[in-house]
Amino acid sequence: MIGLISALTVGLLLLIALVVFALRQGSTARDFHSISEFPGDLRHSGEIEVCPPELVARIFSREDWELISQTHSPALERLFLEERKKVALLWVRQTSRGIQQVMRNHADAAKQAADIRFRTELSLFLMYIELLLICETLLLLITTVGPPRLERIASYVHELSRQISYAHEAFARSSAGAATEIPTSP
Amino acid sequence: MLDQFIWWGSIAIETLLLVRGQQSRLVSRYPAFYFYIFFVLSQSFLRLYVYHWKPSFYRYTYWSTEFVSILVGCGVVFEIFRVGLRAYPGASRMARNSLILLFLVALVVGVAIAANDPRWWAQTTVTQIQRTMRTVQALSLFALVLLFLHYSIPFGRNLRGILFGYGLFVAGSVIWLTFAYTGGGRFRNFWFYLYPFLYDISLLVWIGHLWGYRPNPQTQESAQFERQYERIADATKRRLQEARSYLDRAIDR
Repeated sequence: MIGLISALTVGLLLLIALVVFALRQGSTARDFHSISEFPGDLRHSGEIEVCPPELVARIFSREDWELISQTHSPALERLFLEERKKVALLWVRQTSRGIQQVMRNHADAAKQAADIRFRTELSLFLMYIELLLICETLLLLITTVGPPRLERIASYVHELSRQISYAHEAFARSSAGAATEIPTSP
Repeated sequence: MLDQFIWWGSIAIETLLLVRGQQSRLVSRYPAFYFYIFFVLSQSFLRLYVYHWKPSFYRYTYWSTEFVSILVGCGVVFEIFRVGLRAYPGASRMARNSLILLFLVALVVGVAIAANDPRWWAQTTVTQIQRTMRTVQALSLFALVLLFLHYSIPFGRNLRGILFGYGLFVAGSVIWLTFAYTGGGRFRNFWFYLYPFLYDISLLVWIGHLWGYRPNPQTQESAQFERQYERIADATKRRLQEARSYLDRAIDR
């Protein structure tokens, strides 16, 4: 039989989900009229505005930091770290917003696709959750340890976000392609 | 006095719900929901009759009607799924698969627990069985709500009310069944008033949302889409299969 803690957790989770659902319903109703008739309409394909890889590498690069360190100027080091942190935080937030936008557009298209694949949807969703968690972790780490120490994880996030973007583009193009093949009059 | 007020309050709101449902023809749109309300109303009178005329059968009647009411409630969950996702075949398929997966997991866990402890049936109380059933119901509702959120499914006022009211009631029942029989008799009165009170709140949510017919936002546009969709179904299927390979390639990279 299901334990007390599990039952309580499920009950509370359902309550929270219902409250979020009630709050989100208003905004969904407002957005509804902008939803396209065809799944995967390219007007809604939504791309992540990814920075060039060189720029991402540069934000988290240790090279500039090592150069500044050689000046032995605490004021300059502090200024550099503060500025670099702002740029890095802005990049992570933009990436996170882009990922969320891509997933929203994907969900809008996918919910009308009769031949949706459970496993593909699930894997995309897990990848999406993974990316959001990485973004949140990055935000925390940038705030606490600073960008120069985060080079590898940032490159990983960058690569994953590009993969999601490509996947969604492919989905949107193929669905829109199918729609254009259909005669417009009966 | 308070329990009488709560009890008669429920009867009055249930009757009003059924009358309004009949007048606004909502009964034909949400038959499972109105059958549930009708069942709960009937069971109240049945329990009242047994309580006064056959008190020795009351306990048996109470628990057996509770179990049937959970099963009838599953019809409400199915109706929320059916009506809410009617215009969204993709989201509907996701919901169906998620629910099947969920029930399979619940079944496997249940069988595993039963296999480990052969005496579980003798030791398990009626409350524990009821809590388990309500928890599985709460889990399915939770999975559905997550899907509605993920796919931004717009709900009409009527369906939103049914989901919100029934969800509140099920979540409240799970929490109530967790606490009511634990912690001694200290908060017993509180928990025993809370359960029917929670149901009254759900009834008020329903009466507020189901006073008249309000269509789901997708109904009109989806009708147009469905007509086009029938013609595009074959072509879309082929393209979606291509999209799957793109997706798999992209993910496996």
